[in-house]
Amino acid sequence: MDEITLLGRAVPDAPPPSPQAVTRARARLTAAERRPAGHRPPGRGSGWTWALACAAATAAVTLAVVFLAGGPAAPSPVTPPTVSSAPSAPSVEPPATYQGLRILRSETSQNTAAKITLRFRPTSAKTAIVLRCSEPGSLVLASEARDDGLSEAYGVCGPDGTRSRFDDKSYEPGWTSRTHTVTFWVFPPDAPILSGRDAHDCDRAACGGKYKLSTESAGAIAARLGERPQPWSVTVYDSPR
Amino acid sequence: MIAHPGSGPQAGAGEWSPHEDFSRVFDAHFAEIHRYIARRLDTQTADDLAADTFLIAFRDRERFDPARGGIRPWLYGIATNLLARHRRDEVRRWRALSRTAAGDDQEGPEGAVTARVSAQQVTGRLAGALAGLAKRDRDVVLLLALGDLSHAETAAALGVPYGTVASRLNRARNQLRKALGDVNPLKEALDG
Repeated sequence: MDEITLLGRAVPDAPPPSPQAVTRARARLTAAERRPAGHRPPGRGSGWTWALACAAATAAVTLAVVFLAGGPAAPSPVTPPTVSSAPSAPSVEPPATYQGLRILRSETSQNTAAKITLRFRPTSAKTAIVLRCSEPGSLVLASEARDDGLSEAYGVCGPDGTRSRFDDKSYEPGWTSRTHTVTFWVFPPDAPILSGRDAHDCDRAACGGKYKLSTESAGAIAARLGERPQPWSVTVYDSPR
Repeated sequence: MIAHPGSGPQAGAGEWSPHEDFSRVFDAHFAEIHRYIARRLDTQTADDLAADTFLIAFRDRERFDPARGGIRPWLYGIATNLLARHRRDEVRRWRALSRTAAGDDQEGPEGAVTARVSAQQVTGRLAGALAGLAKRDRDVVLLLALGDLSHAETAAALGVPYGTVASRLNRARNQLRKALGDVNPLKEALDG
């Protein structure tokens, strides 16, 4: 046993945080999460924020994305990615209900590097949009053109059924008073798309041969990749009438 | 569950990330970050600093890059930066613990009779040594000892090269060893 291990044992332990402390911290965090535009990257539009639900579906690949206003970006050349193998794909068929909500609209694509456009009119203020991707780590772009600008969101389809908080797009004023037209792109994990700090640090449409994922760049990325047989689905759930 | 277009997605297969689902980051790591801070300061301060840690992490989530280290080092790094604002309080705590633990060591004849040296019995000496360490060296040893981070994770948490962690650790270890009388008392006890 060395000094570091000994030190770890010698320093008095601390009790776990009290439930009150956890609650307070979580409340502060929730307030920050719901805080609007101030936390967005500079240069982005000031449109609404839309959080799509990340489902917890058994054996399904689900995803959470958040719509944020985003500006257009010019496409640039990318390096063709290596083609990944497509093992036996898990089902992407949506369950009939999700958190007590029923299917309002659903579409399935048999290929990635492809898009689906959904038109739907919510019947309630409780709406969840769930994507299920057969290929773990698939990358998703969701976008909706609105009168006040383009709203975009990114996400990753993970195989673990990650469950995200049900967020508040449906709290948007007038949510149920109009028809929504939302386009979803799904790309394979090896698509030439910038992520993390690389995307944040890139001040152009593309850096190092990889795109910043956007509505503008999605078509070019898809054209470069070509469609791949990796099924995915997107489903809009809504409160029962 | 918030992602910015500027951040882009995290492509790790099956991995969640702060970009997607920050509530999971909180659920998974709040208690351990709180514990780390509480062991260096006190529980009450930890309540605030742990909450601050996650607020800062949420605010800066776009900067998180899994390629540069995992979520734990990232959070520990933020917490350690916040602890820097309480450096004097921490040093006072270690000094107080040094005095208190030393007093405990001297209580009663049993300790001297059994000569059974435990980790608790060296607390006073180690706490005194911690108080005397340079903050940058103390951060390294406490991230390793209390955060249970690896050397590489500690380097990621502090934003310093791996070699810097090694040199700071070596320097701190020497001081701790001196405080223990150039022996490992636990080893002595077990051998004895």
